[in-house]
Amino acid sequence: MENSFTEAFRLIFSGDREVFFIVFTSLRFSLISTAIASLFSIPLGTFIHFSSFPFKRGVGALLNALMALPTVVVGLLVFSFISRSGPFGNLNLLFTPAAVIIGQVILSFPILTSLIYSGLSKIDSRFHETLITLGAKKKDVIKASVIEARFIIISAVMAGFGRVIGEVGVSMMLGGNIRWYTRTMTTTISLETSKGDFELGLSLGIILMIIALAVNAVVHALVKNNE
Amino acid sequence: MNKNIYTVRDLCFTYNNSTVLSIKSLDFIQGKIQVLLGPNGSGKTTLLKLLNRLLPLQSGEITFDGKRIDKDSSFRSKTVYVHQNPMLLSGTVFDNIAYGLKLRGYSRQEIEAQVAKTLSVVGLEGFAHRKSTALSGGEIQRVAVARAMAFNPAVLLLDEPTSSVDRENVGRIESLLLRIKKTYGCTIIISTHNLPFAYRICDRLIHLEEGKVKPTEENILKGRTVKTDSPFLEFQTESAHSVFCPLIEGSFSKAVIGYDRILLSGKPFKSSARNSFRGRVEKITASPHGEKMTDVKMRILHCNGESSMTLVTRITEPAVEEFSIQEGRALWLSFKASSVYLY
Repeated sequence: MENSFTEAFRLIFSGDREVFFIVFTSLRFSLISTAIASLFSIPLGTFIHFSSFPFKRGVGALLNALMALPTVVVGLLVFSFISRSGPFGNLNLLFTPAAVIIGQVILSFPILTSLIYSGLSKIDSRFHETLITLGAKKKDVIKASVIEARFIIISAVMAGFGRVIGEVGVSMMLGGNIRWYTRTMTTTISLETSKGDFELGLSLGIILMIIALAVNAVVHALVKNNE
Repeated sequence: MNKNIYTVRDLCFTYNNSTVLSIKSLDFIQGKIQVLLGPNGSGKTTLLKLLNRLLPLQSGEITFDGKRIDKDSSFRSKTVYVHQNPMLLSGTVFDNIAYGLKLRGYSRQEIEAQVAKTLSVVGLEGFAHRKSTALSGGEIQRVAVARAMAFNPAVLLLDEPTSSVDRENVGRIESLLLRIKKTYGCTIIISTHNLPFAYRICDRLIHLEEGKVKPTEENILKGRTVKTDSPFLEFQTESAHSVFCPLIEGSFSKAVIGYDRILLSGKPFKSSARNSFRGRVEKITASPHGEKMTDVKMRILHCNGESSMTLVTRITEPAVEEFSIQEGRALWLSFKASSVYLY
């Protein structure tokens, strides 16, 4: 075990190309999928909060339930659509970065939407009343609310990012863990551990933890600075 | 002639199947400070929010400047509501005050000028670039008032402005409101349960209890106190009448005399009552407060004719008949100095 740690740190600090490629691939997939999910979930979460429609509560409950969507289920679902025999088989997406990103978008989308919706709902009712009494129209209220809730939204995006960078089911099933192509930190950890080769898995595990802590620290600093 | 800025008719508002407000008829006069006085849960905040349509109108009618607020939204740009514990938007004090002005399309220069003006009115010069999160409770209250006044509204609706401030700051709020009325000439409608504050600040007092408007029971005279050599304090009314009051320390701007504290007589009589005025019966109405009671409104007479001061006294119906009280008849009013409450 001690040797494993030593080897892990050696791998990190030696500038091993493969380790850095894997880290870069993980970050690339996670950042792109989180950005795409945010693009849809921020407007949708805002829309759900500001509009009245039948079964609004039901939609909220559904989004909450989907937050716990198992990654393998998402992987399986997307797999059935993009595999050769699936309806989108002709697009040849399976075992490509695009497939992993699609899966990760589906995974993070309900988390982001639900957190943004519930975050906006938690804004003090005096805030909306103040805007209205000062003469704000609905579009002004929405704009000001999103600005006011910007840290809630940032936190939601970070939660979504945290979910996808740490997932293994989607990346494994849809990316295929192909070396120098779709291999991510989590799929490598899984593979190397199953092979009994702890060093690479451990070094990637340490990097994954550092990334997770760094992301949290950045968000915390951002919120603190703007308070 | 007083013009009504708001009229409320047959207003009823229920929450969780319980009626929190039920008002048959109530008018708010333009340009006056009107205070809604009542205990917690009497419907003051609900009424203020309904006047600003921050709550939906369930039944009845509210008009602003003759137009129904549920049909015409012109009231929105002319009225503003300030919460009991106001909430400032994130950013600076300037951002807060400028918000309503930006929505109304003011230019940058106009915004800067208006922000500077309102900050000076509320006594917060130099605060423009302070962060809204770095202010004390009293400062937040004043920034909220400045933000509300920046676009020069016709009506300022203030919910419990004194609820979370100490006695010293209550005095500051009083002077601030009087300064606002003088500077902007707007109508101010305030809710409060602070009785001394309500009497001192009001041009008109409206009692609310359990969601209903309670009939007025006291005469409120405006004026100032003057020290004399007598064992009484003298209160000089705006209509140049002197009212003797108990000798207490301080300066006061309102004298309050309950309707039931004033006696009527056909001619002056010798008594221990220090205050005695000659007046003419102006109006006799059945008292809304109790059966077989009558409110008699008296126009006080100067030696050189009628004055602008009126006093209302509450007497029984048999007394009206016994003394043949009818409109136009001259009578004497008497009340003790100890019946006068100063605020």
